[in-house]
Amino acid sequence: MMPEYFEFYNPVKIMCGEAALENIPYELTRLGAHKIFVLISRTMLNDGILERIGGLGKALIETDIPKDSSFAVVKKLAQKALAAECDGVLAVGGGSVLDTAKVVRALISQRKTNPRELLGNEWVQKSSRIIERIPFIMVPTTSGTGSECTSVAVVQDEQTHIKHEIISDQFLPDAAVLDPRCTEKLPPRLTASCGMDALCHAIEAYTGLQKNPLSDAYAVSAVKLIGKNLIAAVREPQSEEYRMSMACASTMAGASFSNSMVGLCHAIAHAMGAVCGVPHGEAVGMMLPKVMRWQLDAVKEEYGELLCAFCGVEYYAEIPYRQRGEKLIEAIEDTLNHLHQKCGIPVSFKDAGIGRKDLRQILAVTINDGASLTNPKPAGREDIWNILQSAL
Amino acid sequence: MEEHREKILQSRTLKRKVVKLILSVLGQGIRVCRNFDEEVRAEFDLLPENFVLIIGIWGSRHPLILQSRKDGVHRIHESVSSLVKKLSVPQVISRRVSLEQPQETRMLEIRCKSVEAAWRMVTAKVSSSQAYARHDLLIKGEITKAMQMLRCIERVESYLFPKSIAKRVLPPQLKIPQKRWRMWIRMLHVGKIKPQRRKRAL
Repeated sequence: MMPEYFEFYNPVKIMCGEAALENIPYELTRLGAHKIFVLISRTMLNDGILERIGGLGKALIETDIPKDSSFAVVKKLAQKALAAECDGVLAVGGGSVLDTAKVVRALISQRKTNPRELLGNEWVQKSSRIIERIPFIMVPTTSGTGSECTSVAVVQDEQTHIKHEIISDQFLPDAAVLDPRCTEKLPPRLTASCGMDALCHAIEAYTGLQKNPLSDAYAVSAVKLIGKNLIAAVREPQSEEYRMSMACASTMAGASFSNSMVGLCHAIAHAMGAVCGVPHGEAVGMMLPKVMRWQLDAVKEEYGELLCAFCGVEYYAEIPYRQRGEKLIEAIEDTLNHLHQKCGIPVSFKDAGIGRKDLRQILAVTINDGASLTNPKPAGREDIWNILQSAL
Repeated sequence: MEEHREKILQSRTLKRKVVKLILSVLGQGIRVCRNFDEEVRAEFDLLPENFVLIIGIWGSRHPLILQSRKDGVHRIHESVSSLVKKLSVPQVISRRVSLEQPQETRMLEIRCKSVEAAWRMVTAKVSSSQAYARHDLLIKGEITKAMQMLRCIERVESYLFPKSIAKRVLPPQLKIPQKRWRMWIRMLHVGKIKPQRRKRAL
């Protein structure tokens, strides 16, 4: 159904495939950057990614980026970049590195250092007149967050330990580079959990309140690629084709959910991460079938449509119309169980070390997460409590 | 042609005025509910002291400004810029503002993108989650606090809206309160009662 009104924004140039990394110096020069601030995870630095990119000149390299960047870390990095007069940002790493780079870039483009000033949703800063265009390229090294195509960044408040979502178009990079060499050393468990994260992005984007025909197109393609390649990428990590397909799916799912938002599954996963430190991909994977089952009555048709993309047209044609939504949930549960046996990703709270005592706190954080607002089926405290109980 | 343009402008001015009026009713509702509705009180208790909530239309110089203090919620008749100036210099009003809290956590601004967007919300054509989904709402401040405040607004709306409208636009989990006329009576009186005596009177 066509929404009454929708917005879709994705100005990111995608450079995807063999030897994509080597094109970065040209792109940065084309965009007018001279002194680059490189934020890179230490693992990637040691793997020689920067040597592969080459031609970065006198870049300022930063590897001291924690798993969940805090306001203090971001502030320190922005000060460093401003002091060194960097006029371009290159981020190479997983979700945390990319999110940190997004906020740092937004700050230095406004000549600011306080990340709290960016807090909000789609807020246009009064100082937008003085925004300087800082060229920005992202190189994701996991296939899950889709951060390279989203206008969302997550930063932790070091005082309250709350993870704050900031939503702004300023976070989108000029280009995203998907090179199969970036994911070749990814452990199978990480490939599996990131794949589940990407799948959840695509499914929630396809059913979210902000869904629209453009975001749907990205979401369906992403589900199709994940359905075909996730288990294969975990089984045969050396295959470039599977890894590239997953990287591409993750980017498409990111572009989709950036415009249509995620839902309750992400709200709960954010809370599980904040309260119990469960890795995001694992938390999302664990909760996805449970949340889907709870809201099946509200989005049965959409789930039915996704069955075709996830399981293929032949299987879809065999299933009666009314059962398609349920069958999609079963197929996702089967995938999750398969990945659990193959590489140990958790399927229940017990596997993830979450006890009954943590549930109240998870509930309290979930209810205040912005993602729960765009869920297709409104969720109250009691509903969330029942979902959490079902995961014990 | 000229007449048609004039009509559009008049309609926008009228809508702006109606939005302003309904927002002030909402503000009054929040002030009352803060004192007598358990759910609203619980949400406000979680906010930092002297927390400021601004609701209005993007670009409007006179939005609804509410401040949560120990004795209840107060309406502030001040421009946003002077308020921001005050909050960013905590020592000037150190008796009222906690120094430990950075300015950004003590303030939340929720603005509708346009008069039309605000009109759709205040006339209950769309719910707050639908407005958010349509990109009608702009938020400056912590999104977690915005969620708390949206819940409070929905609660207040459950008193203000006629039952049929409330059932249509408010979340199904939200129980529509009984004896809503009490709230209206309290609202008519809230401005007349001195802050320190208000709680007892209610």
